[in-house]
Amino acid sequence: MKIDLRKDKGVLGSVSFLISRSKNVEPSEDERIAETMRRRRTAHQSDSEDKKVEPESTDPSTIDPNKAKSSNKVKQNTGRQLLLFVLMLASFAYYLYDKGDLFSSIDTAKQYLYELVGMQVAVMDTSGVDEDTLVEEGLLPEAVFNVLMPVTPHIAALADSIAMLPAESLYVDPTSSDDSSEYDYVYIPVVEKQIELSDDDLTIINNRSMLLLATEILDNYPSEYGNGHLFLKRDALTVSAPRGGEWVGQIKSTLDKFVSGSFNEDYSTGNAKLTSKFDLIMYAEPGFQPQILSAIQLLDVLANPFNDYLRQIVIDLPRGVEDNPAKFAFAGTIQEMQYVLSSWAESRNNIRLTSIDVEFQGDELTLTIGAVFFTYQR
Amino acid sequence: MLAIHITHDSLKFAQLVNFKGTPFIESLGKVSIKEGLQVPDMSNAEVIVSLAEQIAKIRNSAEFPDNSTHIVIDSDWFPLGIHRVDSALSGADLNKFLKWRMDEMLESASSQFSFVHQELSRSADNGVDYLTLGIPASFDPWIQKIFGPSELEIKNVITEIQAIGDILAASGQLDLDGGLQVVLENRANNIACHLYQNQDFIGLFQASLNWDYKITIDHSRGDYQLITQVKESIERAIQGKRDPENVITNLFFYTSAGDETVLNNLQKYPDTCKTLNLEKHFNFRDTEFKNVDEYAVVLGALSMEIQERFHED
Repeated sequence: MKIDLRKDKGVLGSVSFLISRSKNVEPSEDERIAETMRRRRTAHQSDSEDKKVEPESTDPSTIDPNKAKSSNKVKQNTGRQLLLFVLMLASFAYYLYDKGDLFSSIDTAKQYLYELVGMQVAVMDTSGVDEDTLVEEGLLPEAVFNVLMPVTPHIAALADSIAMLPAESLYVDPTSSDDSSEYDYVYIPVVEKQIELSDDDLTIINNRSMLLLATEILDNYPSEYGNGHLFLKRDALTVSAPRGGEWVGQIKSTLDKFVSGSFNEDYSTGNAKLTSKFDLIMYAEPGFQPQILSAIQLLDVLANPFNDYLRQIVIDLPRGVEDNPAKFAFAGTIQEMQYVLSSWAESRNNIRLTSIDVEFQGDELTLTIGAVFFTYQR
Repeated sequence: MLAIHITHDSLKFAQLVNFKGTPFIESLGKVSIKEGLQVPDMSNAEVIVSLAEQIAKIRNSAEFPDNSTHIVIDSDWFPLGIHRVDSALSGADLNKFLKWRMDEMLESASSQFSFVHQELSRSADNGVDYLTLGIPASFDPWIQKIFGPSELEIKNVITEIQAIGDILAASGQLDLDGGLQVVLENRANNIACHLYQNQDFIGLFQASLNWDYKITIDHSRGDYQLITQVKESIERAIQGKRDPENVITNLFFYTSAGDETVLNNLQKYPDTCKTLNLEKHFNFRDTEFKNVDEYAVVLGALSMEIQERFHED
């Protein structure tokens, strides 16, 4: 009987078991690769194992039971001998250790072994190496290479990962390096773990951009000109001052750092009025971690440290962080308000800033920050 | 080279490697599958996912990238009939007749299957036996779904009937003189028996094993009269009683987590009862494999490969 459930249909003639339909089957490429890998892996195994395998290879289907028994006996004897050998070795090692000669003996044995297998090639000083141990392109002969670097699973995995990289990523421009040494370096690009950010994460990150923008604009604003006003939302800005000047250019440069959008100057009313519509440029932070707090905790973080400057908080506290709008008013010098703004920028809490309003009155100013406390979702 | 046997409760597998020109069994094993497979169902998405996951696990556990695979599926997943046909029938008439027999058996469901009929070598004066298997139309896509994710290259898909026959032939235990041979698998609370004669399959049955070692046949295919005789012979063997009317020339047995007393009794029985003893017939990388006979089906599937690759002469 012989039926292939996928291929056969209709009436088939009688076929005995184990009768092959396709004689002279050539191994596939996969099978050849697999066998090569097996051979390479087992190449370093002991000769005794090979000897065990080869007699069986003559005819695996007919193993003489007597042979099997005698091989069992041989195995038992070998086991006993091995055990005795290990015991002797352990006793000898202990004797050397007791005399304090163990480690120096190991070093001597290692050196002897290196000499025996030609391991002087492994020493970085290659002056002692016979020229014929190196092949033309300066590569080690395979036999020597295999001794120096047996293919462990880690090395195989590394080789696989290098093979999978695009060729450009392995290219190093020799002229771009000041290093005059003759060694070639292979750079393996470290793939950074991609950070997945939720919408709420983006809100918190953009809060920071907005606060830093306001902090820098306070620096740019000409307080010596007298009264003025800054009103900043997430997508627009208005700055008014008694007159224009160099500070306008400074504000424009500051905006360029934090936003992308329009920039208009209006002097028609006799005062300087700057407006801008924009999108905040997001500065994602590596290892970004938001700090998620309750409404009370938020107040503690956002207001408590700035009690000296705090003038007013407007909030419906029982509403907690359920999209709860809040308003914070502070007053103080430019530096004090910059301190408030930059501290808020570092807090990374579950709030969405809606506006930053600054009234300039000479050196004194009033800062009003509008925010919404929200429930953070990953 | 892998062989995977899909049974109702587990996937058994064996990996064959070519080591310096010698066939070696690199690994043997089994993984359990969900209870949903107690009823063969090729449309159940949950079963498909479960099988695909387990097959991927097996593939990933294989040490070398040799992806060609022999699949064995239990024949009770398919409608199977053994019919005696007048030897005068041939060609299209034979095909029509056999299809008609299956149509009678399956009624309206018949349209969902394609059929393959194979002549069995058992000869009789009154006709020729044919084994007919119904292959569901959804079979090919199902195989693709469960093996596709593992990227295994499927060499062939056979039933356990063929694999067991192959293992008997490969281990030199197939009776060339026409005797009736039975391979008995001792499963939990059940036994499964495959019957072979004249170097071909002749019938099968699955049965429940009662507390008094009486056998109740649950499912059978083939000559029922012969199956009943075989059942009675096995019952006596299991109970340790001599059977003057024993029709079985060789009863091979192995266990897949069944009652050990059954095997003990069979071991005490006269010469016609013996284990398959497959450890003598393959080279195993790990010589500590236990209960190798339990993997008779997957080893049988690989024995064809061994025959083709290593013993062409």
